[in-house]
Amino acid sequence: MTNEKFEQILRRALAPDIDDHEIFVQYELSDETNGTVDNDTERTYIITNEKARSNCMKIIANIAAAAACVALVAGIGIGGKELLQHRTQAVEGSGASSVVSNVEKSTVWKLGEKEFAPGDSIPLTYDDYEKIIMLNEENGQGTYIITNSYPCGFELTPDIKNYNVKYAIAADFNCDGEGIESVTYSINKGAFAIITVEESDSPIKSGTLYDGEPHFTTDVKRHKTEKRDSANVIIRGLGGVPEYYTEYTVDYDSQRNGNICVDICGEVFDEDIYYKIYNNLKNSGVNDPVIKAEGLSDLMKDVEITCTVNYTDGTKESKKLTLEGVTMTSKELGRDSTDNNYDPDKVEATFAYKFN
Amino acid sequence: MNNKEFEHFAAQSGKDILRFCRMISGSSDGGDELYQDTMLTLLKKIKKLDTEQNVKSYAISVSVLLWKNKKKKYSVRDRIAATVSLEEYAESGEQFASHDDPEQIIMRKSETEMLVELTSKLPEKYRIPLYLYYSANMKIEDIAKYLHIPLGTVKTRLRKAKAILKERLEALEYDE
Repeated sequence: MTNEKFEQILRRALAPDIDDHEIFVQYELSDETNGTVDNDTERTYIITNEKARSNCMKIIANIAAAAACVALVAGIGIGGKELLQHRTQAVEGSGASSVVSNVEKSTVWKLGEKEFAPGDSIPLTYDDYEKIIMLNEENGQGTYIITNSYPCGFELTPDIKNYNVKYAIAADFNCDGEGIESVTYSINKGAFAIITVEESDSPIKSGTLYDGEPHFTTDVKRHKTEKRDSANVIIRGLGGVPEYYTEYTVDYDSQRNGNICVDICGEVFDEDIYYKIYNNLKNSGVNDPVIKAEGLSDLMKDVEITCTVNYTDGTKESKKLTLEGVTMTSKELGRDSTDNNYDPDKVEATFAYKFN
Repeated sequence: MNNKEFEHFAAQSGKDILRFCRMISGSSDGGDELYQDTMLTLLKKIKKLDTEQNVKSYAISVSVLLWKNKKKKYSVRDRIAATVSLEEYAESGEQFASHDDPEQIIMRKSETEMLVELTSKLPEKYRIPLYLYYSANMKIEDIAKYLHIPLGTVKTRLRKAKAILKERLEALEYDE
């Protein structure tokens, strides 16, 4: 081996490439660091686009401490922005399936384990998404499950350079009923990002893959967890990458076999929305949750999900879902009350599914 | 140092520091955690950081100190269960999606992985200068100042470390 070749291998081994997003620095706003008030539990990330020498302050809501933050920001120039917008527009309206009929049967629709009825608004809370353990008591070894790595069920990734907000929102829909063969979900904007447990039986029977590069969904992270004893929780990488659908159909009997996780993903380029969600950037560091909730609603205003039950007798029943921003207190959201910064009355913004 | 200056510092040196953290911790996850802890430590002292000084060297020394403190914790965790990150999986998939010949990719990865492992087994006096020079992208003069050893000693250690690695790598490849 020549010295030159060895030197090349050595550099590849000891100096591997690192993406810009990997150098995010996570810290909480505080008097100590920047003189602003740590008024909520949002965390601030600093990212710098090394190529463009442009610094961006990034704020990501409700991120799991254990999950690495992934955001697709760096290297996107004006041309990149146009390309992203073009791709987003390309999928708009492509995913929604027409609903053949709307036969009211006794199907109970659920988001996770929460039942809903038309008109209900169900917020995403910590209670639903932070409990990540499902024990198999019989063998005491714990059971592998896929879990949402966003503690409140969603993650936002802002890009101040392009006023772009990418979102990934848990979409754990399921239903109970008689004579159901399968359930079809479709989305009119963005995509469903679906991770399937490696070497497992997927409940997905068919689907329409997202027609385009899934640039906005690199944030999707789910984890398979194992609990070996009460004090020892181990989180493993799932070992899979998401697939992106605009429509997919799951088998009714195996819809809850725990082998898939689904997120709604997409992005919006809009300065007004950006500054509503991250209003603390224009508001002396103080985040107004009401303004933020408005921003979340604006972010999702064009997104509609259609859930269709396919009965064995050939009839169908559907529900339309939309998303909106809502405010709740920390207590209502189910935040960890043992946290030193816990204030049960503090108002925060979150997403809520609205069933029409 | 103010926030803007810190952002600039993170942009200029963040990758070097993260790379160094990953190398000394021996894993991507452990390195990422160490990097966050290192940068957080700096942030807590942001007002005391002087842009005129070598903040990167200071960051490296902080990461080494933190790593030594955490070494025991990481080893316990790894004994319980090794972690595989989704990012690593995705990255590997991305590599195979490239236009390179798959055989070349496998061969290159194999050599690279072998070298990472061989480096991790080197004595600390050889290993750390290698990490500082290649991973942290530090100049030999800065490494000498950081390790409080003469410039010539740094060069000797780097040369010796590379000679050991080359010999071992060639032996491994010959075996195969």
